[in-house]
Amino acid sequence: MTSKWLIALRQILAWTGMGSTALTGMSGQALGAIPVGTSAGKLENPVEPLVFERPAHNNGLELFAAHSSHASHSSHYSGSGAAAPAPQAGPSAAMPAPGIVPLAPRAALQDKEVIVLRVQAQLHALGYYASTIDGQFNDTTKAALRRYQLVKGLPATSALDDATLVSLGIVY
Amino acid sequence: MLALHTRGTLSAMPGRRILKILRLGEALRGEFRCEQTMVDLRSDSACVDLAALGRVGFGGVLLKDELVSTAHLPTLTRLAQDEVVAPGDVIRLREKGRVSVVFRRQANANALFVTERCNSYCLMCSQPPRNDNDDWRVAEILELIPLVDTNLSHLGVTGGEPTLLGKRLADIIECVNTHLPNTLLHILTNGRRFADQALVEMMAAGKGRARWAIPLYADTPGRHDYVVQAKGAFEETLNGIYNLAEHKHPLEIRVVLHKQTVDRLKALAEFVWRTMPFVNHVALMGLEPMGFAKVNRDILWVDPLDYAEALEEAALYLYDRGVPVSIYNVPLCTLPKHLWPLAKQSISDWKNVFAEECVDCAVREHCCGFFQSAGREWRSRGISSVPVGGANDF
Repeated sequence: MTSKWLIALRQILAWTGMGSTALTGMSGQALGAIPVGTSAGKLENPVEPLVFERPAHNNGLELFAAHSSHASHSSHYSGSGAAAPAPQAGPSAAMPAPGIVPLAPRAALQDKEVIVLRVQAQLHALGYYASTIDGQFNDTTKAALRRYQLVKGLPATSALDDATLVSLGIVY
Repeated sequence: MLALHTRGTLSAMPGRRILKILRLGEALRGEFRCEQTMVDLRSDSACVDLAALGRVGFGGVLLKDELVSTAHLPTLTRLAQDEVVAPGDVIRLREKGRVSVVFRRQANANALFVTERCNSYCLMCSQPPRNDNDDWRVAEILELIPLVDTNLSHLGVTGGEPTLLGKRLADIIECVNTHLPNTLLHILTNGRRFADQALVEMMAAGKGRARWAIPLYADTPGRHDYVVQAKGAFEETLNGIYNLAEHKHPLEIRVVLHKQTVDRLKALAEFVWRTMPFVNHVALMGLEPMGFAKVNRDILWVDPLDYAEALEEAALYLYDRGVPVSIYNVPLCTLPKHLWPLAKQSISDWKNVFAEECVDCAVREHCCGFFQSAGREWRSRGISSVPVGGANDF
């Protein structure tokens, strides 16, 4: 009984994920985080709250350690959602966290220039960054990032780590 | 009222384009294809490196003034009316910088105009049909739908007669199903083609997704056929309505109020109630003085004050029997007060205006106002400002 509505919820989430935007918001990976009862139809702990765990995407730091920029940026941006073939994952995504179904990372996360543009635009809007929004992860950007991290009480890494990206509203 | 068209200065953009206008932050979120996104930098162009936007692959940028730029990025600048285009809108961009808004995020209603062709020739048609081949419209709409906001609740489909598209109308519905899972379609059709069961079956994708809004002007074939200027239309429309109902499609019956329809309005209400109790909504609508209506004013115009009694009878007949009924396009000051709750703000904002008398009216914010095209001769003698205290019914 208890699991029926959970299954229904899972289907609803899967449906919006397909139809609207696979690139933002709830990704398919997050669906795996919803606890749904097994075939026995019983949850181990029925009162356990529904918590959406963070999807296993590329860590911001690894993003920069790994690969050079892609030849075609625009191809990552296909808006046709789940219907389009997923682009190849970066090296770190090939080893997802144990227990989580490996899915292609969200395309936006693959394109570091886009991420930097988004970070710069957001820092600019918040008043931390006054220089040109140019997609270059340069010293000015790092300094702005560091100021932001200090104000927000985040580890001052000057890097695009998960906590900072979440705080900036760039990943959820 | 906000115009739908304007003009700007265009650099390096060949041919017709359909583009989503987004501020930088939203554009970078990647919800919409970047090659079909034009980044709106009108408020913050100084601090953005256009070359970087070019590398990302955006379809263009919208700027306030011309910028000297090395980026190979199409630019649209110096719009004649800046307020016509806002972030979230989708525009059709043509040569010489002609801009048409085809989807407006802030609008009270958006519609897909699917064809100019029609198989009826109604006396009061506000959009007189043209028999030109306009197949390009469907292609453009299929390009437009993926650029519409996914939180849109309703989207109209209008023409012309949409069912003349046949299978391609089903393609449009399927495209909406794919890209806009939260959006309901409101399709304006005369329903005549649905007399053919096969066409109804073709629209299976619209079940639970589309509400078919079908006009019926009288309870007698002669009168209805005269209004739509097509012999046999009444029978075809009725068969169409029953075929759609049989396939569980939601239906709305629309009646335009004018000299040829108001004297049988009560009879029509009864006809609807008795023969099609399955309809989800009945809309009783004031005239839009556009197109043929302007030419046929003599055989159409009735002051709303003079049909108020017939309208009241018909509306309450349906209301009392539990049929959801609305009154469109009739200003509140010309309606009996107890009908006010049925009156809707039905006029799309881009063609909606108010009269001088409305300036200090207490119910203006609940009133539909007027079509912009409604000149003096199309306004009731009853137009007056409702005093404060007269607004208690809301």
